[in-house]
Amino acid sequence: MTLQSFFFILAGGFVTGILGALLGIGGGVIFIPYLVLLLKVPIHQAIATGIVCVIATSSATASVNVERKFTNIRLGMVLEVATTVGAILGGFTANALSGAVLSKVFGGLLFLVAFLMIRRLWMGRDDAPTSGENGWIRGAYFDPAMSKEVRYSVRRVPVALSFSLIAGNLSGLLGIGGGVIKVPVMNLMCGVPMKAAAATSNFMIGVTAVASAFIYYANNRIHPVVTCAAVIGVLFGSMVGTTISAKIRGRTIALIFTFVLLILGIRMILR
Amino acid sequence: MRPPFTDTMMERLVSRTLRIGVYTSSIFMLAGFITSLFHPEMLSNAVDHPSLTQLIALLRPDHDFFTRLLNPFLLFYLGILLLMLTPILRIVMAIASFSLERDFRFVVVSVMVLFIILLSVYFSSSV
Repeated sequence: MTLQSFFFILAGGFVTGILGALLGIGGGVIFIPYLVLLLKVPIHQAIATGIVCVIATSSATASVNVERKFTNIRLGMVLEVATTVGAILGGFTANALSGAVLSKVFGGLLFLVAFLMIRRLWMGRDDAPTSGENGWIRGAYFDPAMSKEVRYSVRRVPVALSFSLIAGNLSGLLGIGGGVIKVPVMNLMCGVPMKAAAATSNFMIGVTAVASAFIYYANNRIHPVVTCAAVIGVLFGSMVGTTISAKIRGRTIALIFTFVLLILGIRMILR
Repeated sequence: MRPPFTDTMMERLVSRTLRIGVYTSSIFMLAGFITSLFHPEMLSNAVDHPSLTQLIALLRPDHDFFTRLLNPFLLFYLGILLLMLTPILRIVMAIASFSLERDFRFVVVSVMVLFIILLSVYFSSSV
């Protein structure tokens, strides 16, 4: 490992952090292929790097969202029971699979994310109606955009738990956050407002990622230089991304991003 | 009489734990990066991958503490370890907060999450 590679990883992490903040997704889906295809980092190490980056961005973002009351800590803790079990299973599975198989599975995931991005661009991102306040997990926050307090209670907790298990499994297996599954489920099926669903998902992914991070660590998959360069880059990138997100048109970037995802998906499958 | 512990207090506690964790681990990682700028050759001489127990032992505050920290690899490893401990600490803070709020249903849920994570740590350290 040279200082030059360190800077390449740092720069990649920085761009990923900006993109993640602009598009409201974790950057792992683009950063892991960048490490594998361009910098020739072994896929298990790249996934482990993605997992540690998820812990960093989740902790940094959640520290702000929790105080703003967007995060529903109680809902997060309940769903973490499922995501952590899923992540541990995913972590063990990933370490048992060969790099070639893992690359193909990752390529498939990129297609899924690209499809969900196209769907979001096509259909918009309307908030599902919130339900009453009689559930056992409730939440309330002040929405500055609507200038009012939003109150809700969570419906169909077992459904959210089942999907959280799948999201946690994908996180442990492929090094991503899994918000791509949890956020729509919480919003559309469980009646959690989009802002709270996104903040709660972000809050959860740190703990989910830790559950598999130790497995990757024990299997010597966490490369200290690659991981730290990535974490520093991603943290700075997400700070910059959050600052500039209000001034940039998200739709054009999302279209380009989707196109890049499809190309990366094909390359990861053919690898 | 002491004022009751509220959700707002819990949110502040959890938020500060996460912030301090990210700052502390970033300082170690940045220190590793700065050290490697002065000694770039050290990046090519990887140290043996330390086990979790060896890594925690590196943190003991003896007279060699600062000498050990001149190695960028160890600084990177410690930064990663502290980052991995951050979400675990926030679960501990949530357990303490729910206990103070006497919301025992969520104490049980949070203890379950902590137990699952510790199980993963246990299995990982025995590999």
